[in-house]
Amino acid sequence: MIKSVILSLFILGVSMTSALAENRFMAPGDLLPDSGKGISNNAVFYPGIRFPIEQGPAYGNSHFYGVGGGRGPDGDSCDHSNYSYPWRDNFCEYRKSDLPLCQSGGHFGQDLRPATCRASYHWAVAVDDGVIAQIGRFSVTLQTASGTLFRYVHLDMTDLPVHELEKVSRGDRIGKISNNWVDDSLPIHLHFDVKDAIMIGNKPEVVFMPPYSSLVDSYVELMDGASKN
Amino acid sequence: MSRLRLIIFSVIFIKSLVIPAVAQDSIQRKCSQIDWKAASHARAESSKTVENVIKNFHASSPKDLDKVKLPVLIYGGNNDWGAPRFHGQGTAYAVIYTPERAKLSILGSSSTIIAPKGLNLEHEPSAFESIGDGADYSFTRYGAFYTLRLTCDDPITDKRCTDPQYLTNAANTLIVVGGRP
Repeated sequence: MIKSVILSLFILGVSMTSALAENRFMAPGDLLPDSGKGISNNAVFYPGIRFPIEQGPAYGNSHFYGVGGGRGPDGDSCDHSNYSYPWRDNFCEYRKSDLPLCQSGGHFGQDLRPATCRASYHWAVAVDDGVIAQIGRFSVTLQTASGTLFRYVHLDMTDLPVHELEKVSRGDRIGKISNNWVDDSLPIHLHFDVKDAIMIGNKPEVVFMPPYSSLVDSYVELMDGASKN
Repeated sequence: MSRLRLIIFSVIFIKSLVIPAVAQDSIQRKCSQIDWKAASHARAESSKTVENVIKNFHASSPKDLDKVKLPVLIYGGNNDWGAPRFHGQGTAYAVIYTPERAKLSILGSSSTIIAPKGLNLEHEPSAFESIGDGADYSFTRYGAFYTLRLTCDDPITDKRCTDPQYLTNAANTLIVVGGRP
């Protein structure tokens, strides 16, 4: 009997390798309390994308509701809690208006913190092959051949290795992650968003898409060397 | 035999307690049905009214213009935004303008994701959306999908990025200059 249980635990231990990885991530749509109503749908809209930060670890969580954020607990935005697992979805977090796919909330991307709280050091990279379709005041847009628009926001624009209409390949460096904004109030993080056409019922709409599950999938591939697919 | 059953049962039972945070649903993408008849008609009409704009665009030798499988729209209005720069990717394209202290991209595509079960439209989409350093204006025309992405050096105070009317007006001037089935 005891041998059986030990053997079971051994088998379980081996098969738990991937399951343990799940402890790094809260479920899609599980936003911080009172910060919005997320989308619990777990569809990976962009399977196979490259994680948008060159090297891990990285932490998906809210810059706004996290420690040191605009609506977060007092403290330093470099606080350890912001650089810890588990990840937390923040698509649909409350903003001025509601997004089409959100029950309530208007944050149209996912906040990602790089390994350390150091500005202009960690690279954001291309999630897929495509072309640099715009370079804004503090953002870069990548358009893929499918027409998907991946956007990298709060980059250090003084040191961009890409140019407008330049072709890039999956994994190419796009820019260094910073806190570039209209002022210097933001924590260091990458805001990553995706705009695409989606057919809902019989009607196509061009909307910001929930990126969380795709980011989790690509992060697992980066860190563990194999996609969960 | 009973021991084996106990092992299998234990593994299945304990594993069932570990709920994956992200279990995947498969996603499909499909090409949209382009209304080429309407696009061709619009192209013929605009060639009568803004001939110079079209001529100047083609004079810039936009590479792979005719390989783009959707109607290519460019700005046909009176603002001086400089010469458009173009990049085609077959089922998508980008045109970039450089108005003073701003950037405007016209981004087109011809494929769409099929929404998985359970993903719903909770609010009626607005064509105009603020995006931090600017604004988007997104719409469907001729069965293809377009986003005008405008960013401003002063996104908070520049009315081009804050007043929806500016991008609405720009979208109304768009003309068809290329693309084919």
